Amino acid sequence: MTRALVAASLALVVAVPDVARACSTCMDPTEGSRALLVVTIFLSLLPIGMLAAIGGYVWWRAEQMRRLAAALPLLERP
Amino acid sequence: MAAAGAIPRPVRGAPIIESEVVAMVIVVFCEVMFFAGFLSGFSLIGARAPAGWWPPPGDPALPVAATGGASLALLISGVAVFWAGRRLDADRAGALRLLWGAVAFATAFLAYQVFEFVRLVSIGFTMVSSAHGGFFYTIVGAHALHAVIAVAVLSWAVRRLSAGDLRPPAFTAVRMYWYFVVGLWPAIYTVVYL
Repeated sequence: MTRALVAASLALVVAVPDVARACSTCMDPTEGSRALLVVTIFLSLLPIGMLAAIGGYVWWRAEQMRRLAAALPLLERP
Repeated sequence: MAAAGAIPRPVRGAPIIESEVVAMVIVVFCEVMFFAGFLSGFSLIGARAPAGWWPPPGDPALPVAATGGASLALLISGVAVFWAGRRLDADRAGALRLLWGAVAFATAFLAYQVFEFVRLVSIGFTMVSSAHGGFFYTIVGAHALHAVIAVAVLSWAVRRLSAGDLRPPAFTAVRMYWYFVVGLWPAIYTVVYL
């Protein structure tokens, strides 16, 4: 079943490329899609950038706590 | 209670980041993507419209200068919250005054937005008058809703701080949400109004 589906998909790409390319979120590439490209890049990089910033902050906090722990005796949690 | 801005002495088993702050990071992350989607959609529709057709010719011009003035009030409130956070340990009374000032400036911003919405609706610019109107009220209205929530939460935090029973991480989380609401507005103003 899976092989038949893959074969049908490949046949569709080769035989009817316009239909194969159709998707609900894509636009006509001949329509001057610079804005679409910019928006796609923006929306793709934004979460990655935010995750990187959050990761960087967590790392910085961990380093800060590690340095403090080395400099000061640890308190027992109440 | 530890001072809000002081570096805490390390405690064995204590989390690197408090749970209030983690929760707010997740909220802000989702909210940023929510608004990024709307602003991207708005930009995309504008870019794909024929020359001279965006905003649609029948729609009224948005009040760029007046909204710019109101934006200053919101930015001032953001600066006030920032300085209040910095001064909380050294000058608690001054910091609380700054925080109430921030609430007042943000309330002024919201009052202006209500006035602007009423005026625009009265001249026929509504959610259903055009795609421009739909996007305008969705984006600016969603931000205004967030600003209302932020004002309510900041007022609650200031009252708790005055009483001395607000945990420093909770205050940090409130400030993070405030910075998000204030920091988002210039992006909305640039994309929607300019």
